[in-house]
Amino acid sequence: MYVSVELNLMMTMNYSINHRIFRLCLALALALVTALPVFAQDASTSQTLTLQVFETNRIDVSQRAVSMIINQASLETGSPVEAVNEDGSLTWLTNGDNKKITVATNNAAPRFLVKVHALDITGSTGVAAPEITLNDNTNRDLVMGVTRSYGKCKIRFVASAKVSDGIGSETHVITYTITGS
Amino acid sequence: MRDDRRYLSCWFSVAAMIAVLFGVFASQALAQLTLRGTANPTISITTGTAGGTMTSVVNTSSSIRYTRQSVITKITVRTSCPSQAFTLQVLATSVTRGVAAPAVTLTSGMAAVDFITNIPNTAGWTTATPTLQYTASATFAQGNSAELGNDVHTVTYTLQAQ
Amino acid sequence: MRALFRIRRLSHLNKRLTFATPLLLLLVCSPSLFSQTYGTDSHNVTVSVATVNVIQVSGGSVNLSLGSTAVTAGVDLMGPVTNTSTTLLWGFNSSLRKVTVKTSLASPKYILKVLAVAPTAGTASSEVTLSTTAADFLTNTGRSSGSCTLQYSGYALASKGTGSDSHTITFTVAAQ
Repeated sequence: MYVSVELNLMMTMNYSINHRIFRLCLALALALVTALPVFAQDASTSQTLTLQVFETNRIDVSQRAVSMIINQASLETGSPVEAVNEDGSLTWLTNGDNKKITVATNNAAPRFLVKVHALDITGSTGVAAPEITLNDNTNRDLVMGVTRSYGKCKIRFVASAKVSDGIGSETHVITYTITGS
Repeated sequence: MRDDRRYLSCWFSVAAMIAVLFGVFASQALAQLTLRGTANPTISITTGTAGGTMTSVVNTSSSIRYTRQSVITKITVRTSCPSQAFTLQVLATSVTRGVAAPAVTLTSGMAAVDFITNIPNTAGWTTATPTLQYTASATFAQGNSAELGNDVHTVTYTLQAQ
Repeated sequence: MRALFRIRRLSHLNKRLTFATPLLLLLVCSPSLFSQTYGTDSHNVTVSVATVNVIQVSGGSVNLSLGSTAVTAGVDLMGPVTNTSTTLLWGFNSSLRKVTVKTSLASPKYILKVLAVAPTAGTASSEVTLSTTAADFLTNTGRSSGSCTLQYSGYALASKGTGSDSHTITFTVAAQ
């Protein structure tokens, strides 16, 4: 419709102006014809996602059972020779702050002496406490200063006895715990 | 000589009668069936559902008028649409004289199919004007007019003896 | 004139046939003259289909909680925790289209990944670690309508501590 009206106007105008108007109208008409309806180009959609991380503490020991036998005596002193076990390891993970690892036995009054010590701590911010004597069932600090970290250490058990302790056997259930400092 | 003139006269008379009869019937045929309303409707599909289909669009801006004949008649429909990409159906609605066929799917190059049948020849009416209900539909897989161009159907209706 | 002379030489029978021919022609033509077609009319009907590209997520927002599950002592990386409760749906009638994904969170504390699972059309890209840069999520989705499950996987390093990340995940149709 637009183009046909302009063509009618050309009849009364000189050739050079008519020609320019004609070309302009032709271009506009072509643009209108080719401009097919376009809707919703390159649409997008969104959603909300929340990732929440709670405090998590995990500890694990490699040896589920340790057997220590005192069956030798020193030729020099005549006292029983200590039994040592360093075969086990302790691994842990915490994303909390200011944690420590404690150790305790369930044996409230052991006859024979058992000591435990954390050695060769790796991949962690923790620091080993001095060797612990498990002579009662209270919790003792094993590794301290553990914060947002994972780690591993060797567990060294030393079992000893005096001649006066006689012979026999004892069982300990050793528990390791990650707890707040 | 007299036989020749009779022979030529006979031929000219027959030719004249045929020409007149064609003219009469042609002019009558033009008035028996006409399309009314929007001359050349355009149906635009503009929306669709994610994971679903494009939204079909219905157009009822056209109608078809036909007149009573001396015999029972019907109306057929066919279409031509080169490079057809989308789907178009047509259905006669508000039919007062005759029986509307189910919606016809218009496919380019199709043979004419029944559109309205059993149009009575009994007295009591002169014309009927049902609505042409066009339904355009498309799937996402069929594409769009920007890439493929519009479908332009030439839809032809014919009133004929049943 | 020659034709007329030829006609004169015809036998009596031929002359009868000659006069009868146009009458026979009229009788033959009459059925078509009294045609079964009473009327015909045509019009143009144009079907125009716009460019339509629609995409949406169904299932609402997603919450991932990383706690004591999927954690191994001695290993810094915690997780994954996964969620498959939401679905992406799309409909594109343009050719050569793909879907990209990105997050609004510029410096996340934790790791979030997303994967298109079991798409009904198109090709799933490898699992995407979300960043603010759009990455291919689904390809070859031109002229298709389909859906897929959104599998989100959350990870955290123990060294990052506790807390939460809030993401706005955006899926976008793009030219492939």
